[in-house]
Amino acid sequence: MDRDLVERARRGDREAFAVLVHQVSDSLYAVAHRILRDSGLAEDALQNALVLAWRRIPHLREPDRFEAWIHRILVHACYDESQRARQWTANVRVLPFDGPSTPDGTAVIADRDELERAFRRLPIDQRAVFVLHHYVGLPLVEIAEMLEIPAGTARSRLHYATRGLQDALSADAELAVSGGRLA
Amino acid sequence: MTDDRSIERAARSWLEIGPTTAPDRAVDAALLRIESTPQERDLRIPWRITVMPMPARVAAAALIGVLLVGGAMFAFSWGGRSSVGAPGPSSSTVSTPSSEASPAIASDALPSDIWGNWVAQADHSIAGLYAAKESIQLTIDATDGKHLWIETRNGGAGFRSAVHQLSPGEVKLVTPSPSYDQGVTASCTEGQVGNYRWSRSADGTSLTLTAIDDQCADRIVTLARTWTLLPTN
Repeated sequence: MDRDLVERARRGDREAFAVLVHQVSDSLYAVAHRILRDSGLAEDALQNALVLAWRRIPHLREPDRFEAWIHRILVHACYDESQRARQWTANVRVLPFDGPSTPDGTAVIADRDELERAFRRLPIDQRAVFVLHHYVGLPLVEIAEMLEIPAGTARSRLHYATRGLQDALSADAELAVSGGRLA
Repeated sequence: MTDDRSIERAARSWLEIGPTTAPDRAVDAALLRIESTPQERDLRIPWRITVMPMPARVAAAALIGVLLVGGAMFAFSWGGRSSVGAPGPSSSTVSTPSSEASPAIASDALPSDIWGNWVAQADHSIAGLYAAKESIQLTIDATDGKHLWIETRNGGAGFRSAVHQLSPGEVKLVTPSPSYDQGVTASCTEGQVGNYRWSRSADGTSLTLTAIDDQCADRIVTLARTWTLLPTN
């Protein structure tokens, strides 16, 4: 990241900030989409994060940490979007995937669907840590620093996310088996 | 696919699927909003003030005192021309539009003499925003006096509220829409209203906010206190 651009943006240079936006928006959107699992929400989170970053960039003390800083803003924007979406979807239940997985290529798709459903059941803060660790590839210490949470909290969120996925997938598998028996 | 390793492996490859490019419309919309969005001012809060040694505190207090007395004498020497509020009739005043006029201010904005930054020490914590004993800053928007919010030493912000002056010394605060930049709002939700009394000390260095009522309890415990003026340099 160009430190000079960040410094100029801090001083109110909108053109410099626009260049930064174009440099980081793909990465931010990819992360937001993976946390929120929804294109519309991810777009809103990206927009809100970029506007908020513009407002707050004069407070950025370490220009070299711009990317970590703006990712933190994005993750918080994702929390907000998730909260807003929950108000609209409070009554919508996630229905189990109907149809057993088969040993051919459709099993892969079924696995993805299971993962999708299981992931959506996780709390948003666990999803964020999971995505930052397994998609962005950040070590837990960096995630903790980025999100300004204790390292132990980051570790436990990742642990509970993995456990949550595990439990949800097991439950789905049992449901599929019992459904098959009933049928 | 239910042990940790295989779940992580499967999840990694699953996460790889998905968009990697931001839609132009989202980026363009953000840049459009930014065009009309002002930045927050960075006034470099001297957080070290709370850990200054006693002699330095005394010296700083003395310096502030001298500056305040000097400022007050300077203000009086101008015959009260700097007083805030609607100017009274004056036969000796020559109308000089724009030379000393303050910027156009909506009638419900807070008076410009309390715009700026005020600091205090938190006596409790708000999750995600500040911890007990941490120094926090109350910012009253210095561009129009129509918003206020809390800032923290690590760049956090929260409790952004639209300001409506009800009467001299009384103000209504409203939590804006989540699409607006609210920062951390704790239990405050959109549209929640809080009514406060405010008063400034005679020397102008303290601002006291007293809650009359507020639908958001977290805003009361954050705002209702005496704040100390933060010098602008």
